[in-house]
Amino acid sequence: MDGSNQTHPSAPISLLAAIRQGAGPRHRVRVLGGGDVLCGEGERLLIAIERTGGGGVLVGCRRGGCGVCRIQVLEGTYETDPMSVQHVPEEERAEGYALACCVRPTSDLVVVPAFKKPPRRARWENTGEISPQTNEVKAEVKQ
Amino acid sequence: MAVTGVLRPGYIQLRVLDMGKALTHYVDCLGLSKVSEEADGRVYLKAWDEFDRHSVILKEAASPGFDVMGFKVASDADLDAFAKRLTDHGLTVDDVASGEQPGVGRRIGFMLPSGHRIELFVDMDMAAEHPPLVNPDVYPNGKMPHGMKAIRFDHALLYGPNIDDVTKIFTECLDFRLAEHVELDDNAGDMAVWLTCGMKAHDIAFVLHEEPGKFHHAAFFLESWNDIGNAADIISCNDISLDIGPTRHGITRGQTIYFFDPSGNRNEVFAGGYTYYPDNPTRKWTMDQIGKGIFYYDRKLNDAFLSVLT
Repeated sequence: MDGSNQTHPSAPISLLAAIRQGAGPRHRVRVLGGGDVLCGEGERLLIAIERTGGGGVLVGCRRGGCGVCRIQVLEGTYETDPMSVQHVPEEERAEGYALACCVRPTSDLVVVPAFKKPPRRARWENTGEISPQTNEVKAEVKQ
Repeated sequence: MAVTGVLRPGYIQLRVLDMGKALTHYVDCLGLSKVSEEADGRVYLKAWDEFDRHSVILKEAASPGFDVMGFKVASDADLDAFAKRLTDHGLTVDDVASGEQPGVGRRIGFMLPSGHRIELFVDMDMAAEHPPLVNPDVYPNGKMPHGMKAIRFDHALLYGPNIDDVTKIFTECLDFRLAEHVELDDNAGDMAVWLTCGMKAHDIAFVLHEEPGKFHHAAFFLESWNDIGNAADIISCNDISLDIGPTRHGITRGQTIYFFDPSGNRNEVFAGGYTYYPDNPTRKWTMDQIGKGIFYYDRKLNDAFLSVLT
């Protein structure tokens, strides 16, 4: 009588499936060891992975700083936001290393998680060189 | 007892990947004011209830993280005395000339065995826009605080090795007190320490971590639990990366929310927390209860709190 028992004709069969599908143009990203993710045009890969509950990649700061979502892109093209050189040095960027939170796919991708652990049992030595101009401390981590 | 010697946190300098995005975050969202941008690229900011010229310094760099935290000291004689005590402890103490930061007098600096640089200073110019001094209104010049309405830069949490040595330096050389700590099992020292130089539950804190020099968060004080809700709204409205909260800490009892700046540096805004009187004993948490200590409502620690750092 009030229509509450009727199914809306356009209701999704599965809300979870709808969330995974996303909206608009999408790129299929295969995360080796984690499964497939549909990443929206201009969407950052890590956000798509989080949105869809996809596994394989850890979620950290989501802003290119902490490095826990580090991946290597094996196939496909993408653009990147600024990310920390501590976690992805320039020379590694040419080899496809990137932080998933800074990757915006421009084609379908195949990626593999590549989290880099900090040096174990690092011995800290302060070289004592301090630039008063910038406060930058020159120090080195010795294995 | 009066607060003497080291008075309080004065400034923190953080590295950011993109200054434009950082200023949108720290000024528009967090609610700080921009004081100046200097020729070397450093940008100086302050919170509305601070008298000193600046409290947050941002520097554009290729990797984000922590450069230095400075504490304000009561007098020149104190500064010299601290330099001697730190040197006697075996630390290398350097001098930074007056004016190296605009409006700041001479500083001394040293490197902690955790890999963090700490500085002490006595003089900083009073801010052009400071809290009113005569028949003082609540807000400076009738200007309402904006964004999250950060009242002050309050403290930092740093991650690195040799935390027991760090505690010794702060307590034995600088007269800080250990307000609260998480003790490792089997008398293996501390996992984490909350150190205070005044009557707050903490002015600086450290967590034991293998990699030196890491930054966990810079914290800003808000007035109330309602303001934490307002901050949560701003975080969602502006697509700021949320870490955890709103929640509460068992340790320090602060009501809190954590989030990340556009370069991945973690920020906290918090309200409350207990008053620490100098005669208060040290409070202890054991490793089996650390979840409740860190996140009092969830009562479990998440991986990100221990591993996501800049």
